[in-house]
Amino acid sequence: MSSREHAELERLRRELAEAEDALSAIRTGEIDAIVVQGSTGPVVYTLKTADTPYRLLVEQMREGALTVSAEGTIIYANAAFARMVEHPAERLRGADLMEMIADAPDRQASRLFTGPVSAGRDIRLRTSSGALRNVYLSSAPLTIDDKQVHCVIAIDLTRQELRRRHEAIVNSSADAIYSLDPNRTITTWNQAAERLYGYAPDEVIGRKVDMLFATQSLGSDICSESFAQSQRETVQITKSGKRIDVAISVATFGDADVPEGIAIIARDMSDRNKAQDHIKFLLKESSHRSKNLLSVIQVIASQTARAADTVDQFQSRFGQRLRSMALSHDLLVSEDWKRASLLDLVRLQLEPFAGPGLLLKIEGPSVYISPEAAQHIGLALHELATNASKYGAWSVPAGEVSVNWKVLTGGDLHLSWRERNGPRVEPPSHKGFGSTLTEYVIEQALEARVAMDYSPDGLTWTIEVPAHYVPETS
Amino acid sequence: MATLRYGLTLFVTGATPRSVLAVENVQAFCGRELEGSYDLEIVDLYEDPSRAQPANVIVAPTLIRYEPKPVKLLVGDMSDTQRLHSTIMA
Repeated sequence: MSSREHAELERLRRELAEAEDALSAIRTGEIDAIVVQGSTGPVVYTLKTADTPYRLLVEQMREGALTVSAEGTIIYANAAFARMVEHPAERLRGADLMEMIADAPDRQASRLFTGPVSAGRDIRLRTSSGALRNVYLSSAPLTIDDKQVHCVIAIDLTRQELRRRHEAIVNSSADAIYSLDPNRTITTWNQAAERLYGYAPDEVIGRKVDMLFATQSLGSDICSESFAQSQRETVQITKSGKRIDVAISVATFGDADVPEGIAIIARDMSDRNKAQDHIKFLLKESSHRSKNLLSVIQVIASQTARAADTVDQFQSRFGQRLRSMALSHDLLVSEDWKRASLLDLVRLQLEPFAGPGLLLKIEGPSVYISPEAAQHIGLALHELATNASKYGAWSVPAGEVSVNWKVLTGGDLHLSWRERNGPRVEPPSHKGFGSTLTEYVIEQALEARVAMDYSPDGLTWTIEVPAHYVPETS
Repeated sequence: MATLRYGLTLFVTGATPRSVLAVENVQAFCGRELEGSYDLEIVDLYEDPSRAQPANVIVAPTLIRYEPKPVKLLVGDMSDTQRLHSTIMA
């Protein structure tokens, strides 16, 4: 063999080895494409492995995707469509799409696949379990190996409808609801969030949630384990810089291993906290008043007991005094325990004593007195009326009581109780609870000036109460 | 004395998986073994299928060594470093 022939043989050997390599590579799937000389020039044929990314995309998309023959036979269907009709995907190949369509008028391929790209229509699919599912079908013609097929996309309207309803619920919620991606970036923002924080959606979406917290660490805490699936109260900052008390609920959504994000529900607790503070104040105030009231009742009880000869007498007198206190109390409650009308107080206390033929004259300007003054003056009027009924003007038919008041220059209140046309008056030989109360107790309690005049033609009691017990006059 | 220079052409088809691997493997090998003494052309047959026939390329990815002679050819994703070495350097 000549050296030329030898070289030629070597070249052929090498080319054969290369050709074998190429064949082996094709056989073992090491290549992506084959170049073939077609009638119009070279054509690149992509092999199966090359279209894997596209196939995966179609397999994993959430919408149903299928290729269907002109007659409606399913050539290929993805997993989402299989789930939609509750069929195993492999059994869908060769199945008749038309048989899955619930309503007869929709069951015509010509109606479903019209035009270059069908505008799509709402149809109802019957699942393998017999359930009906609203689906939006759209299609586009596709030519494979000179054969006309249709590429069909099916969108599950039940899910869309659910999503629409969820959005409506979220948007109408009184609580702020927003979501974050795993990097704490705000992704959704409902109307209540806009009201609570003052930010419009475009001012917050895409920004870190930290902007709503007083400190960045609080912002990062929200993604921590301790916050997950729990409710917690914290302080947040609004757009105007105002600090607000909020109760925050946090829940992750997506897969447990790969969370897609965090949903946050925030409730404004400022009003509730204010209401709680008010309730605490009222309870404290109520406790304070109850203690005062109890100590007054205690004094009345012991004084009444001291003056009473029998248990019956004690019960009767003590009961009357308690009723008098209750009357003043009711009047104060109706005015939110802030003040009492003097005219109402006088009427309430004296009406139980007034009867046919008993003369009572009441005269004075419209005046409101403080709760403390109302309690003491109320009790004093009760004692005076009791005394008048037993021994004074109201113990005889012609007797007359007049109660007058006026506001003095400087604001002090001057009130007088005057009895006329009663029996002749004589100063009492001993001081009972009534006179102790009307002369001394009230004097000390209200820093008042009190005068008791046992004039023979009728008793006169006057009191001057300092202006600060008289908050309102007209 | 003229330095030895390698003339290489890699035929691929867009961003298909093995084409992407072949580009990465050849570039890594040349950068490591040939230290700048090479010219590498990457041809995308999707963009220019007419380049295949003159080069006798029937599959992708294919690597052709034009220089030094003789012309040599390797098919696949070029992940077998030993074969890549013997095709380019032997």
